[in-house]
Amino acid sequence: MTNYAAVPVLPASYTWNDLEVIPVPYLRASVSAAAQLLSAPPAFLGYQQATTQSVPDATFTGISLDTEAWDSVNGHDGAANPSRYWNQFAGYYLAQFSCGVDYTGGAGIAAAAIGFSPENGSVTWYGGGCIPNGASSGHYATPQACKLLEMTSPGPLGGAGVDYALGGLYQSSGAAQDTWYDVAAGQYPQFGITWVSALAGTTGLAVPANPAWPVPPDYITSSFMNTNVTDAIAFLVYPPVMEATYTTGTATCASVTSLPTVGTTVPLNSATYDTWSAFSTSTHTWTAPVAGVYFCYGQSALTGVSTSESMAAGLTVTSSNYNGGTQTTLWQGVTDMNPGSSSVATVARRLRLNAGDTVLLAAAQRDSGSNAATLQAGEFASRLITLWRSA
Amino acid sequence: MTTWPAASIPVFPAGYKPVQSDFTAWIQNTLGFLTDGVVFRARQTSSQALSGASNIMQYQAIDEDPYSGWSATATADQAAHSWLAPYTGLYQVTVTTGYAASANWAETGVLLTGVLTVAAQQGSPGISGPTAGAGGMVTVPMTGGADYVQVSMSIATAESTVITAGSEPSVEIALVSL
Repeated sequence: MTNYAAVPVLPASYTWNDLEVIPVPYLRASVSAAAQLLSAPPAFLGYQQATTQSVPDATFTGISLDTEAWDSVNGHDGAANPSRYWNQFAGYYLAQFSCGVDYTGGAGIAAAAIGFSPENGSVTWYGGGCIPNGASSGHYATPQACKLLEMTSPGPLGGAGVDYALGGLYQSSGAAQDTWYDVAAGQYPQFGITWVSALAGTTGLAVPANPAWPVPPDYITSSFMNTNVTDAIAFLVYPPVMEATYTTGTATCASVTSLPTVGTTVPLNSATYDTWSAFSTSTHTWTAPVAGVYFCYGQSALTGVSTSESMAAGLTVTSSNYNGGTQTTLWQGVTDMNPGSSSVATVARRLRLNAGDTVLLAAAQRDSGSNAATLQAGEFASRLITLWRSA
Repeated sequence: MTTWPAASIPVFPAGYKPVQSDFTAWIQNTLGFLTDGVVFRARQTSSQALSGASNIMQYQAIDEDPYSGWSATATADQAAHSWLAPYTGLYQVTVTTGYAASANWAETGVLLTGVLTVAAQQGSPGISGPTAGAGGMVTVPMTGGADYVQVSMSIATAESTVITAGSEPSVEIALVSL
């Protein structure tokens, strides 16, 4: 881990003019600051590997992390409130969590969630993967969750007014159950969070080309500096970031007998975050503003009936890089569904996309009685996340 | 997809007269690395028979691997069907796996230099699901030039993976932080 022993700062931005010198302090405040922030952004990865934790029935419960694998700006305290990661540097963060339930009785559901406490206030839980509890001896349901967070208020660990995030488990077996860990078998609760973007910046910039610097008799122009230093850093600090959510809870997803080439579009109707204004709430479509490799996460939340069997989440992509340019849904595969209660299937990919390519969130489900399922809203809601991560 | 030296914080000395190679090292290489990152993406194009136990996933289509970390065969540095990290850092692995029929459980994970980290475990459709499968994401710290990732897939019963557009097994690995 590269630990610069200091919380980073946002790079300074300069507009360069012809016939002026290039002051060293300007380069330090822009290029050096960008290198520190972007090569080793605030990031945390923690595990629960030493002590199991009892999780009450039907209650979102923050999961303690007793092992730190990565904590670049010391946002986690293993002694006090060991489930929490405290904001040390404002920005958008990507949080992910997975946790197994030490129960194989087959009753109820297991769900992972991301909790967020703005300014050390009450925690809001955002449900993620939600699957049936395990029913095979020695195999424990392990759901995953992923969420984009807008963390605006950094400060000391535990401080009043300081944001924190955490991973949480929900299970409804009918009784309290322990978390599951078996370090030797590679299974243990894990929570990770990474800074991905500044809260504000300039949009519409090009992906940095990073050309070779001029060799005499050519010389460095102000245009060269503004494009390849100022704009390049501005883009990297504030790339396209988007999360959209479905809040209505009335649409349905028909039963299918095989995964369709193009799945049922989840009518995401609320752009929670959309820094480059790339998502349409009317067409439920996200359009890549620039080319690059994007982290894409989708979760399709369904409520079925007693005959529900299985479900899947997918990313419906129109891009010349996939399926010859013909729209297709990239599925994560089908998993069991919770008959008659909340079910959430997830998909996570890194996709190479061109500017103008589109992504929609898709769902599929099978019901033995061919019944439709409802796309639900609330704590377990469908959402789509897209983040530009590299050229 | 250009390769770059790992970014470090450039030191701009005062009172120094830089030449072009200085700017290359200080700025072009630094911002180039921060722009292009480290990414590996691969897919399966031939169906793989999965035993009813632990399996190492095999990929035939290497869509992106600028740092040449993938090896389908064992070498002195890495196991077969693995990706060797070029730089020390935190990496995120995303995995999808579709297979043909139902199984009572399925487990997706990564082997980090032989040590398993499970991403997700879930039941697969017990009653004639459309196309079963599993997937997930794992974040792992890796030592450059020493640690490698293999994708692990364990299921309750023997299956074969499905190779249709959109459902073929895939893996992506990307550097999150140095």
